[in-house]
Amino acid sequence: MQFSDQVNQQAAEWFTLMQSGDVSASDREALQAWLGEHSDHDKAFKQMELLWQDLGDVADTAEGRALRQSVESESIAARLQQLLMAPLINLKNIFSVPTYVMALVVVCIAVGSLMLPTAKEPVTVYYSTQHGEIKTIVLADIVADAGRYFDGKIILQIGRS
Amino acid sequence: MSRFDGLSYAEISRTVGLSETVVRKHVTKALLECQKALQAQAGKNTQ
Repeated sequence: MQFSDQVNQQAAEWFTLMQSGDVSASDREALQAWLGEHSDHDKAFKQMELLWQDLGDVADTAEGRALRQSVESESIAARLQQLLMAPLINLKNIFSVPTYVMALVVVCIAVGSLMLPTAKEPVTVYYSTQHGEIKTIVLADIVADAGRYFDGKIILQIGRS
Repeated sequence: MSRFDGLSYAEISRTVGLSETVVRKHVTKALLECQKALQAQAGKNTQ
């Protein structure tokens, strides 16, 4: 069964939060509230639980070990490139502002990566919106999308922040 | 590391030098990527 990207994203976030050792009573209450909001939420969360179980089963197989070896043999540069190309997550629409002719927000992040000391060129990550759309980008997103260390600058190219 | 090695986010955080929040975000991304890959494969199998 497939759900919307938003529901899957939320389900994955809730699932990984529950996997952490830092779950408060209010987190649990909020999860229960989210699960009760729509039947898809409960199903999507259960799907994440099943996926997690399946991944655990794969870990003990020859394929799982081969996968792990292939990941470990990748260069750090390749890993960082994959990280930067990964889909942007956790960008939340707040509200639309119709007065903007064009609300294209681009955030450029130059990362002086201590993880990749051979990289001389700064790494740039772009975020953009559709016409009339506003997105909220939190620092944790930028750090996750940019790489190990956030050590750069943010440039608003078009629009307002 | 989280699923295959059973490490907690705190343990991974100390190992790789990322915050626990960032580790959790990466696990979330990985989980979603695995789900997409499985769904794509399932789609191919049904064709």
